[in-house]
Amino acid sequence: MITVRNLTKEFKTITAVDDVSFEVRKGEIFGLLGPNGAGKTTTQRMLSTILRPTSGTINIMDVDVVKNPVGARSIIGVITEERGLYDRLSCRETLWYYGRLYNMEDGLIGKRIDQIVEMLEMGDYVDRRIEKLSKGMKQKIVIARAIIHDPPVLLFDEPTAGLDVLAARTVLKFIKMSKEMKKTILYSTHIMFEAEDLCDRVAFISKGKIVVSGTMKEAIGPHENLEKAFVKYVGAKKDEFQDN
Amino acid sequence: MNFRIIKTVFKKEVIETFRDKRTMIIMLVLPVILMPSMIIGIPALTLQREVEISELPSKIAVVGYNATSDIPDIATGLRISSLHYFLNSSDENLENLTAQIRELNESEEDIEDIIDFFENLHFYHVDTLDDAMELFDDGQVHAIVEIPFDLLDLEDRNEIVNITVYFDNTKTRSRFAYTRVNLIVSDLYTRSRQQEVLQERGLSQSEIEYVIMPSFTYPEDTSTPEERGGFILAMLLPMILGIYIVTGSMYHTIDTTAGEKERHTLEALLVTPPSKTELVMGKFLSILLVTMLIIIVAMLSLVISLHYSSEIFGGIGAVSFSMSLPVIIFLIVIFFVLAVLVNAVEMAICFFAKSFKEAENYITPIIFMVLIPAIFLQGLSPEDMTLSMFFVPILNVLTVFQEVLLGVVDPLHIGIVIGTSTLYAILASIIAIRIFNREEVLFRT
Ligand SMILES: Nc1ncnc2c1ncn2[C@@H]1O[C@H](COP(=O)(O)OP(=O)(O)OP(=O)(O)O)[C@@H](O)[C@H]1O
Ligand SMILES: [Mg+2]
Repeated sequence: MITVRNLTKEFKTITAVDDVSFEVRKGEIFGLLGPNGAGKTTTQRMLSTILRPTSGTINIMDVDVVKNPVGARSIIGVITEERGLYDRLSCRETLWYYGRLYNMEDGLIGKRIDQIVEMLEMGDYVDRRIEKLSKGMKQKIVIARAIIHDPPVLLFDEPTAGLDVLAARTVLKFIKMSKEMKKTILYSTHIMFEAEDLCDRVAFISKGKIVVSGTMKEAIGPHENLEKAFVKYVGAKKDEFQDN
Repeated sequence: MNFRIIKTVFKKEVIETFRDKRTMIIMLVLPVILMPSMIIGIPALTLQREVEISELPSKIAVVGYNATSDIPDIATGLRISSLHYFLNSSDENLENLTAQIRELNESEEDIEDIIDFFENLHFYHVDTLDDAMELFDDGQVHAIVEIPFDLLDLEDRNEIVNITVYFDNTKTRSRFAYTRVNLIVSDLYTRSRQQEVLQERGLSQSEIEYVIMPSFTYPEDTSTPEERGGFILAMLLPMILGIYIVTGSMYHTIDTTAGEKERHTLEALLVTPPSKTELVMGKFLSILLVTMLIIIVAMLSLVISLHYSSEIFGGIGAVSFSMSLPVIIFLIVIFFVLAVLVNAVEMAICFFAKSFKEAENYITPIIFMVLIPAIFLQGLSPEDMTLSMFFVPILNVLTVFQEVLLGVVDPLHIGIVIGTSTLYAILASIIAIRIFNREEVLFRT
């Protein structure tokens, strides 16, 4: 479903992603786990066509993302690390905007909005201006915006960051629901219990390199839980990394 | 190129900006307040002040020849009386003067005017020029007249009489004082002196009049009130509307470019399928719309202002502001051309900026790109405009604009300006799209 081969991204002074390869199979949730500055967002940005890789290949559902970014965009739903919304628009206007940007038929957009509003329980505020909404409400709009075109592949970059426990649970519930709907999901986070709860397979990324990857069981290995394993594999490296 | 996408982006940007108070304030409040105050308010105030000052008396220090208060008969004309009045502006003298003027058989109205004129002149005799200067510097007198001590001797010997008037050209009241004194010295005094001398030589009154006034110059301004109105507009408009073009949609331009970075909405936009060109086009059209709305509101406010200012200045009858509908439409078209260019440049710059503040700093100097040509053009008439001026970006649009306001419609010039400006605008748009395409610019840190 998603195949990443030897992906590298160099910025002026640093190599943010260094020869990364992994594969996400159809219908699974793949966790990309790493500390701050590990290269999760840079990897996600290359997959979502915002950044061009320095080298390496990305394939999503047989679309070469580097060569055909426009083709890739309509099959992926993205929650970017930065989650700004247009404050002066209402939730419904926002979803109409993105629906049209995804080149959907007007009739379909209307239906899809009703569906999403019901699914994410946004009926109370769907016509209110976004500037007046709470963080949790806004996060639902961010999710709704990412899935307006009903994409088969979801790329989520720390979607629970900055949310309270209840709002975060809603997001996690949604991700599980998406799995039930046979979506393929790449999920970045540095919160290990979330990953343990959600992911089928994971990769630990540190300093731009994949250090461990495999099924949840393989990743935990002899350790008590995923967090202990993560600290074991990544912890030592993290200390050097903080200089960056 | 997908026009539905462009329309979608355009519509969303327009909705957003119409919900933004800052843009609305600039769009409505400024034209509605600023334009009338510049067109009516300032000239009206200046005019009002001039009228007020002209009604105030002028105080004048007289140095030198000290006349006695005896007033000679009317036969010596106004010469002595006016000079005497310089020196002794007593009520008694004024009465004498009035009596003499009445004997000249002027109409009642003229007599009133002449008396008014003299009543507004207050003369004070001062012994030395230094003393007079002190009073002058203190502002106690508005001008100084220096008359030779031996005035009567000079006159007897038929020698040249030099009279000096000191005044300060930078002070309105002093200028008025000079004008009034000058009327007496070079007109009344000189003419009555000529009359006296010629009379002594035995010329008859009719001969004297013939010698003194062999001809008259009648100034006749061939420009029409409309042309004079156009001249004033040509001075003001390019500057005012130019500033509107640069600043009117400024907030919107920043909002839709650097603002997407600052509000963290850019990434979510970039993961959608539309090409950067389509996004830029939609955004650009929305900026243009905002600018043009502002220009149209400003023009409306202008036409209304001019209507009322015509009424205010109607009494003077010298100026008439009339803008026919075709001219207004043409001006809007010309400004559209300028708006396309300026807004494309602004957008290119703002795409580069990483924050609102940075964009604001970059965009402010663009005002000078319009101000400097506008100042350069002030007072220039169509004959002064060289062909090369119609090729220089921004300057060319303002030049054609001014030309039309001054009543010259030259299809060649208009063609060149529209052609070149379109070219420049396309160039600027391409640069904007290029900038928007660079990932280093999108993720500048
Ligand atoms: N546009 C850029 N220009 C230069 N360096 C960058 C750029 N974007 C990211 N980096 C650097 O690349 C490295 C990886 O950053 P990235 O944002 O991918 O990490 P992350 O795993 O998402 O971290 P976090 O958990 O903090 O979100 C960091 O050192 C970062 O400073
Ligand atoms: Mg990140």
